[in-house]
Amino acid sequence: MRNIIVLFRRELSAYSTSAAAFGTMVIVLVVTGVGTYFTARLSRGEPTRIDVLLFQPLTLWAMALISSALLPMRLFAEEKKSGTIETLMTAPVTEVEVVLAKYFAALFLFVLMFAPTASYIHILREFSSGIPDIDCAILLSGYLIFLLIGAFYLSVGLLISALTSNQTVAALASFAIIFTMFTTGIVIYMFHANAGSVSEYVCSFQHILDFSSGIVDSRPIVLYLSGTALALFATVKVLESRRWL
Amino acid sequence: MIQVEHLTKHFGKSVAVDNISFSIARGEIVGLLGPNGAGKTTTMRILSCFLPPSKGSVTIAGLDAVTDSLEIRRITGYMPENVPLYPEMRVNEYLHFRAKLKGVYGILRRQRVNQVLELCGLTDVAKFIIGRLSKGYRQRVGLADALVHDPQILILDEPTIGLDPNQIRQTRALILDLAKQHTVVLSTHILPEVEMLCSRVLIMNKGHIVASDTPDLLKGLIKGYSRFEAELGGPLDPILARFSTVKGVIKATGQTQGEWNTIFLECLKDADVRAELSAIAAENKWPLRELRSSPGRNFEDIFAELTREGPAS
Repeated sequence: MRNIIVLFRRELSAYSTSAAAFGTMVIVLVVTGVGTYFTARLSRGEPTRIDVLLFQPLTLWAMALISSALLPMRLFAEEKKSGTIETLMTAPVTEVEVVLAKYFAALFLFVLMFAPTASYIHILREFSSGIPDIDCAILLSGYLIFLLIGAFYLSVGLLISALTSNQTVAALASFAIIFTMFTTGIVIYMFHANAGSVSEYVCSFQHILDFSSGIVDSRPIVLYLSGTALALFATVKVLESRRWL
Repeated sequence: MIQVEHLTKHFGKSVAVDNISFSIARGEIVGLLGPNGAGKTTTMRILSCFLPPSKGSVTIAGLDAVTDSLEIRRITGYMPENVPLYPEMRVNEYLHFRAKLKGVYGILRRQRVNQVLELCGLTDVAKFIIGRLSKGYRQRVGLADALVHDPQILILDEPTIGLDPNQIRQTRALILDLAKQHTVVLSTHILPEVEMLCSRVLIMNKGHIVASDTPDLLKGLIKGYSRFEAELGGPLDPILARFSTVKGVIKATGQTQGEWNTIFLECLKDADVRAELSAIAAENKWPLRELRSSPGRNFEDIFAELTREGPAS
């Protein structure tokens, strides 16, 4: 546990000195802000639901996908490229500790990046009249699914990063995988293909619609948590694989 | 302290280290010497528990390298080749981070970090960003990192590579100093360094240990020769033929440059044939310009002999 905290803090300090992390943060806020602004403008004068305003703009999801591919890309790829993986793994730390520390550092940054988006709705309310009290439960359940999906995608990004020593390859490959996972659901949703099949259960878009309108279903929670656990387990195994020969 | 038995390491089909055995006692400085690809780095990675052996056993301070790897890592300090570091960290920040990782906490950590900063001559650059340090300083940061938890065993992969002569001298002095309290295993290409530093040398070639002894004994291990060089006039072939018959001469070779021949003689150890050679030269009226004993075989020759590509291999 102590090692996890030590490694976690080192990863955060590495993020804090990286211009890329700050750049991503700024872009995320600008793009999601613009997205929310235009959604709000479109529905000017008409009653609009929170979920439509906050969780359905594509900008938020585009940013979520991009940042969950960018945030973990350097975590292992850089250590492998510079050779610091050797000093790291010859210190008395286990693979599990290293993977968890890096993962939680990326997750922490992800939360930090998107936390300000929660204020958008309150800012909107400050400056307009006639908006009643905001249903915080819906806000919470919406962010719950957002966090779960983000957590899962970040773990996939971390796994890819452990597989390569090139950050660009890591980012592109994880974006391709994350994008495919996300859009497959949307395509299935749009065409109502094979309704009732497995695809319906793994469609992230349906989960977003459900959760952001207040339907908290335990199945997606289990899906994303177990998916995250699986990807992290695979990452540990990749890291251990140098010991397999 | 370190016991290696029948250690073999495969990478796929290629064999990096092939069935080597050696043991290192407490307080020894052992040098691993060998050409590129001899298996030095692989051996050191296995000793530092970065890689597990494919076959054989490695026991360090009574602990097995596979099953007790975490405990071994607590008592060994490892400096990899090329000293990988985090370029964005400051020197003291990095050393504190490494000390924490290696289980040094509290007041002791501050003490240890300050100690190694001083020991490695890093006090002046403690607040510098590692990425902006020169190669020599980075090397020292790597060494400080290997030392920060006061390990019993130090494993240093090419500790002086890429340093300028002054830094090399400083690093060597530091290693000699460290060896008073630590067991040191180091690898190097630089042959005089081994003679200077090590109490024992393991010469590796193609995954095998081809020799293991003190640098001095190793010199004697190879068939002892004494060598002479003679410069004299006259026809080359008769000279070589005549010189070959002198008692004690193993081999005579030579070359002609203008009027003069340079003759190289390899003789039995302790045989001094110079008096006889000059007598022969006088007898045959070959003008003798120079006759000297050429320097004995140094470590470099031995190394070359042990690791050169033989027709059989």
